[in-house]
Amino acid sequence: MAPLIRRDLSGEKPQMYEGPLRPLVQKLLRNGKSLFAIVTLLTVLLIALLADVIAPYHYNEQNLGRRLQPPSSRHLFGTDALGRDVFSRVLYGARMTLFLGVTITFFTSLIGITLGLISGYAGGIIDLVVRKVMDVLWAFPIIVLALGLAALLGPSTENLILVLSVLLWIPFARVVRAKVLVIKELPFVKYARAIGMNPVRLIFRHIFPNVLSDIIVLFVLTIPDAMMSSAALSFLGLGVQPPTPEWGAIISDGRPYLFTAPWISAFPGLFLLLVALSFNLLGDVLTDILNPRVGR
Amino acid sequence: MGFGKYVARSITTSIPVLIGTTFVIFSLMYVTGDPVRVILGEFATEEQVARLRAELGLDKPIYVQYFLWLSRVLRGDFGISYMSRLPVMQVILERLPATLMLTGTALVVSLAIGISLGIVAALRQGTKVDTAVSTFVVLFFSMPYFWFATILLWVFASCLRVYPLVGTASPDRLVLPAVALGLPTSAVYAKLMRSNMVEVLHQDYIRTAVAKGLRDRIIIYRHALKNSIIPIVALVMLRIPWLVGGAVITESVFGWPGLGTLLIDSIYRRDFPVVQGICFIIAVLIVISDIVGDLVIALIDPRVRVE
Amino acid sequence: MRGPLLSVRDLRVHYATEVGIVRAVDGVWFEVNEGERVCIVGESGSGKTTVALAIMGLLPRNALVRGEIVYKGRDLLKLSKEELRSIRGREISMVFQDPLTSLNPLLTIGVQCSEPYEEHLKLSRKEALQRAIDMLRKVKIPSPETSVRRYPHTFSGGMRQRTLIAMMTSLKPRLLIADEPFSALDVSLQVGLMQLLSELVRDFNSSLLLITHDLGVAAELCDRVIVMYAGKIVEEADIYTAFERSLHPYTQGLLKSLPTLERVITRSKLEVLRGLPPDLIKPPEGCRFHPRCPFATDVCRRDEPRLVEVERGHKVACWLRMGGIGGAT
Repeated sequence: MAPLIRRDLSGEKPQMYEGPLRPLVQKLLRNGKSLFAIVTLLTVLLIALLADVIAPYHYNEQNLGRRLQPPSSRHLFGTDALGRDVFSRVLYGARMTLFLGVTITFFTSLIGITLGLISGYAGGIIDLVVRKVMDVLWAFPIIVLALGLAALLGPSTENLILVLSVLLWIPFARVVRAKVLVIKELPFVKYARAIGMNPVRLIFRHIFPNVLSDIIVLFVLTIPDAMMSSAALSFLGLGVQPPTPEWGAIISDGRPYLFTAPWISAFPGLFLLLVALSFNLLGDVLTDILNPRVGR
Repeated sequence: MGFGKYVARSITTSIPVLIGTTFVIFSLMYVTGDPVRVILGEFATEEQVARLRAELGLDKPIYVQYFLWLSRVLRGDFGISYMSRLPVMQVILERLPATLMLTGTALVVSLAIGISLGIVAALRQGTKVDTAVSTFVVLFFSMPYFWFATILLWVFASCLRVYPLVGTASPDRLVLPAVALGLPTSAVYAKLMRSNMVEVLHQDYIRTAVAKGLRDRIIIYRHALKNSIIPIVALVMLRIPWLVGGAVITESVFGWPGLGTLLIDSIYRRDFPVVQGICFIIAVLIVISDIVGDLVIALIDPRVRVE
Repeated sequence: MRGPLLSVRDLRVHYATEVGIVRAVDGVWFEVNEGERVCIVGESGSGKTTVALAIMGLLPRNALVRGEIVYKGRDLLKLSKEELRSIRGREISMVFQDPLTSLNPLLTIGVQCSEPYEEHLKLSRKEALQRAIDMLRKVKIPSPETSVRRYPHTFSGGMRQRTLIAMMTSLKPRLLIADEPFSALDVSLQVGLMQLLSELVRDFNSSLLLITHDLGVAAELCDRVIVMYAGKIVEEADIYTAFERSLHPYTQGLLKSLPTLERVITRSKLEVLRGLPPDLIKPPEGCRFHPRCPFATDVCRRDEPRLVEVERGHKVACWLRMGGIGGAT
């Protein structure tokens, strides 16, 4: 569609036709909280991408002559038990943690959305089964389940992704299912079914777009959850394996030396807090924008 | 009338969930990894393997195994720990009180802080106090609890030197882990309490109370509070699994001798009976707290009893 | 007698909202005397409820209030929170529209009805409860001794409203404000409740300020009528004058739209006021009623008419009718 250009004789820039994305982004940038969040996240993303360039040392560069040194100009965050530069490890850790958060959330959303769509749309026995499974799974501490599964499957990054993807899908399924149940009853859906429309097509063309905003918000809010859980599991030794740096794992590395070298555990946690905070803030602002509540 | 019936209904709906949960846990143990080989090691002969398997009853189909296990459990027999050769029940009971202490105290802490902050923020809506509470909320909501626990440990044990590092599950050692576990959770309660309270304060019956000329304190504590708290109880019930999970890690950080540390050890050592036993206890505890939560709601809200 | 019980002078209430400033009440003057029953009549959005809330001090936080509300010589708008609190429920009380939402669902009737006695008379729970039981009996709630242990949701709509009335009149207020107390209920219940209200007001020697959109109710219960439109008073008269010799086109329109027996029998068409209620953020210029007035002239569109007394006790705000001519039945 050709852009509608309005030429203003006072010399202003010509106005272009705007899509729905632009106002959203503008609103996000105008809000202090989301602005902070976006800036932080972009910074961390940059760090993760450019870790090779920025980091003064390699994450596994050991120097046993410089073990457990406090923060200094050479080692901004000090060194750990193997003489590795904590600052560099934290920078590289950003990569892993972000990657885990996004990947797990991606897979888990796929599972959850699919199950939610099927369960909501099909109804009947399928719905009942899925609901019961959700109830049972939800009633149990995720950590314990994750611990058990991770222990059984063997600790590794791949297994971590697998385990958490299989456990964190429930909110997606619930949200999608609820929305589907509502939309299913709307007239235009009933007409579509009546004329024999292919259910898959129906789901994608009519039902899905309505759920989209909820899914987006949930996605943003699940990333910190996934990051936290992977960090927790790595903290317990059942996630990312050494020497790969991941913030939870680094915190755990610092535990035996907590009193002599607290910087090892302190800094990665701060970063984790900051990133989780940013995602949560962003999610909050998105919720307000996409689902405005009347009155506060 | 409705009360007894309500309790009964609460229990009966929980039982399928309990069975489902325990079955899942049970099956998980056998999904991967053969416990027999773990015990006997790599060099066991087929005959030894078959014999131990039959001895442990592991050669029967899984649902049969489950029912056998369940019937034993209901009689209080959780089997024998692979590692320590002690009855699992005994091992668990040794550690259960410590975990209950920790979880219970943490829950109390989180509710006390969360509800108070929520009320304060609702009453001072839009002021700096409200903003401060919001900041607290969003900060602790995003807080990595295992890191928070670690930092607390460092601050109080190393810097301030007030926390005894080793010892039993004694009250003076309880405060710090309970706070470490309870403070992050309180954020969620504070947020919900605030929004509930704000909503309740806009209701007509509050307007009636004001129109009667009642004192603020009475309006808040007698009229508004009761109405705001019900969703909190529901939320607490939903968060119990998280609390238990958090307790596991918190125990690990502080060296608290409870079920959490036992669980982690047992998982590492593939001590299945212990793991199953703990998971069962956890599931039972969660179901019990659900029922208690339902009861509390019924106590507060007379409307749910009518059905 | 020292003068009116309540005197409202140049009351203005503006709500600050996201879409603009809503001028709900824009310059209202009236009085209520002791023992009098006054009715404020108007459609939704006329500002009548806002006036009631302003008197009680129950306006929301975004309300900007100016003017004076003088009760027994004191300006209610200038009182401290404590002083207002001691007046509310005791000397000036209010009965609300929806008895279901106006009662706390989690507290027993007994507790809620005892509160006024506990608070204002400093009675113990036991004593207050006894008085509450007596009061409930007075409003004809069956078995009050056991009813006090029940919860609001177990009562029918009519009983709830009786309970609310009992609660708010328990201390024999000097002024009782009733905001559409019968609107949420079946018409069949309205008669009984109206009688009840009437009896109570008479027995307690209270003044009544009734807010309603229903002229029939006004006719039944009140001595004097104040007609409001778009935040202003357009006509004020005693009840007979209002029905027989109303002057303002709006009042006449309201009367013509009443389904009276005569109109039902003759099957004449009910005349309806044409047009829509005015925008209170940007009210019409001049007389606020002019867009809907069949007689509007240029001066009506330009200048706002003031409330003028055309005969004793009869005031009207209309350019065409200030001479007292043009009254209709």
